Amino acid sequence: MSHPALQIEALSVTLPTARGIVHAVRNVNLAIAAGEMLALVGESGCGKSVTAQAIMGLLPDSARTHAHTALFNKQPLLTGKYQKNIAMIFQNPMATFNPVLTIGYQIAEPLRLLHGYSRKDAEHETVRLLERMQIADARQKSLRYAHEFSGGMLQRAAIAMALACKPELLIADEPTTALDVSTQAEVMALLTELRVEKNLSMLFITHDLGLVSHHADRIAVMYAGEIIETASTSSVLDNPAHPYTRALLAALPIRHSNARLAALEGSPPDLRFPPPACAFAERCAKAMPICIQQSPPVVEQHHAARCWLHNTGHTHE
Amino acid sequence: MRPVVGCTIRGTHMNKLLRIEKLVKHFGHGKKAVTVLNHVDLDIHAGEIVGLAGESGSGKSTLARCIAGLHSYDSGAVYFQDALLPKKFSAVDFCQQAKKLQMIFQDPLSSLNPRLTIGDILLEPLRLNSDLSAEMQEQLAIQWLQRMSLKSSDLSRYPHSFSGGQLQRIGIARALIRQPQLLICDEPISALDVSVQAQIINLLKDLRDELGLTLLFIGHDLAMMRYLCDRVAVMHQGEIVEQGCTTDVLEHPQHAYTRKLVNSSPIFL
Ligand SMILES: Nc1ncnc2c1ncn2[C@@H]1O[C@H](COP(=O)(O)OP(=O)(O)OP(=O)(O)O)[C@@H](O)[C@H]1O
Ligand SMILES: Nc1ncnc2c1ncn2[C@@H]1O[C@H](COP(=O)(O)OP(=O)(O)OP(=O)(O)O)[C@@H](O)[C@H]1O
Ligand SMILES: [Mg+2]
Ligand SMILES: [Mg+2]
Repeated sequence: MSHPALQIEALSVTLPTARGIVHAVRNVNLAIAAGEMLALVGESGCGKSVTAQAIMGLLPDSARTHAHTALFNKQPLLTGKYQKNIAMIFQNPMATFNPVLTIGYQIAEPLRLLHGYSRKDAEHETVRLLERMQIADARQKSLRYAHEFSGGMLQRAAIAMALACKPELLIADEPTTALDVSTQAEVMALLTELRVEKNLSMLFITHDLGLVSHHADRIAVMYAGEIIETASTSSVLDNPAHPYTRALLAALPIRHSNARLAALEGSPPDLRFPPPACAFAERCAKAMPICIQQSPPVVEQHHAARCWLHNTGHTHE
Repeated sequence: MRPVVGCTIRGTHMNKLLRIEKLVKHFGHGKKAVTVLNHVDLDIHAGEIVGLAGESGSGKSTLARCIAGLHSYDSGAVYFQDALLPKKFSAVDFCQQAKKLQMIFQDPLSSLNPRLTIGDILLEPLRLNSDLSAEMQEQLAIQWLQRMSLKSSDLSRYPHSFSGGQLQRIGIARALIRQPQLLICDEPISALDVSVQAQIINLLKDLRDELGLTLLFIGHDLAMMRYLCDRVAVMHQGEIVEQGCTTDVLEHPQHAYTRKLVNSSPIFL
């Protein structure tokens, strides 16, 4: 990879709760090149959104964030300041918009405040952005409120709002979850187009492995706050190395089959008390004695997996 | 429209649990009125899983909300167990309906009261009308949490400290603890990772087999619908443009919009 635009090394985030401290992100490394799309996948609750919020500087004040390196385009992150050149699209479009302001007003706001557009120019640009997101009748729709939009339309408006910030890094936290497959395909095509045209780096958080296979350059798989596997998209999907990644791929419905879906048994560890060794060992069919004694090393190769199965000295299946 | 004959209707009885006839719903008044549901017809038989797919903004959630009494409708009729539902629900109608029908929402966070603990959220409906002792109720709540792969210690936590997927599972537990006859799921699994999706889908299928639960499942993932649903209906701009057996509709789509939907589905593995 050329010099990465986003460079995160050893990121850890802890969140205090009434019942103890949650170690939501543990020792995470992430690198994304300019114009590259990295997909972050993993079990719900594994820390994907918290990682994204840490990069954006959106975590609550009570959160403790620490990283060895955290740079975007050589500028330091995690400074507690709002990151102007990073925009984020959230999992929940309803929470993105203020219910008492029109959609158009909220998209125009960053244009006026961050980029010095006049009111009229900002309105123009807003309509253009909405049209670009394939919202029919954009001028009319820009005068409406969030509750008058369907889930899918609202998510497209949220993407328009993110683009109004003219970001260099776009963090998309499940941006197409609420969209039908044909709108989803259109939005993904648009995001890919923007990525190429503006050389945008993208961190794409998703559960949809089908979308990942079509759009992402690389995949990082997260489990219990750690990245446990990372490699090019085709490498991860065709040759998953970590048992957790394999379990994820096995859970997909198979065409023309009525066999029961292969759900992973058990649940991930309580992140208030993260296991000292491999976090997945408890649910892993291939666990060995060493897995519950020592943390597997981070393998830094073109296809990295954090698993004792792939360490020298132990046979590979 | 495709004839329904030839499609084996599975279920405990062949009777129709829910019958929707020529349902029309507008938003706004006078010149500004927009027709969101345009003469929608749909039947759901007891014990059946019916999928509802379609364009975003086509009116799927609105239809679900009309059935649950969260929206009034303008004309047409909705029958639940042959009883005509009022066009506009009173508070009493609403409580009556809530015992028979529960809904899981697309957006888990905004459908859970942020000021209540998970325990209160789950037990609230039981406290109001249940013969169970407080201890039994708590046991029941813990059972449902565990069935959703959550922990009993989660009972005392508040919604904001859960991830999206965890919240969705709490929403499902809240709906099922009331043992409804019909469960409307408005995109219940889109926010979940594929392994938890599989868990929930297996669970919904089991509940249908064990308890004869009837499901209306709104979703975008056609591969999952093919796996889960007995029949599917496809909505486009406020109308159901095609309905029938899942395999028929997805393998031999008749309507142009269904074809578009099937063709843009990301094919994987
Ligand atoms: N504000 C908070 N306070 C305390 N704990 C939190 C907070 N936000 C998240 N958590 C916890 O941190 C962990 C990681 O949550 P996160 O939202 O990052 O998960 P996620 O990977 O995005 O999951 P999903 O796919 O379901 O969205 C979870 O166990 C969650 O309960
Ligand atoms: N309260 C409201 N006032 C005015 N218009 C509304 C209201 N609620 C929904 N609409 C409009 O009704 C249409 C249908 O919305 P609905 O939420 O039912 O769509 P949907 O099929 O569920 O879409 P999605 O897949 O995106 O969730 C949309 O055009 C939306 O803008
Ligand atoms: Mg998340
Ligand atoms: Mg909807």
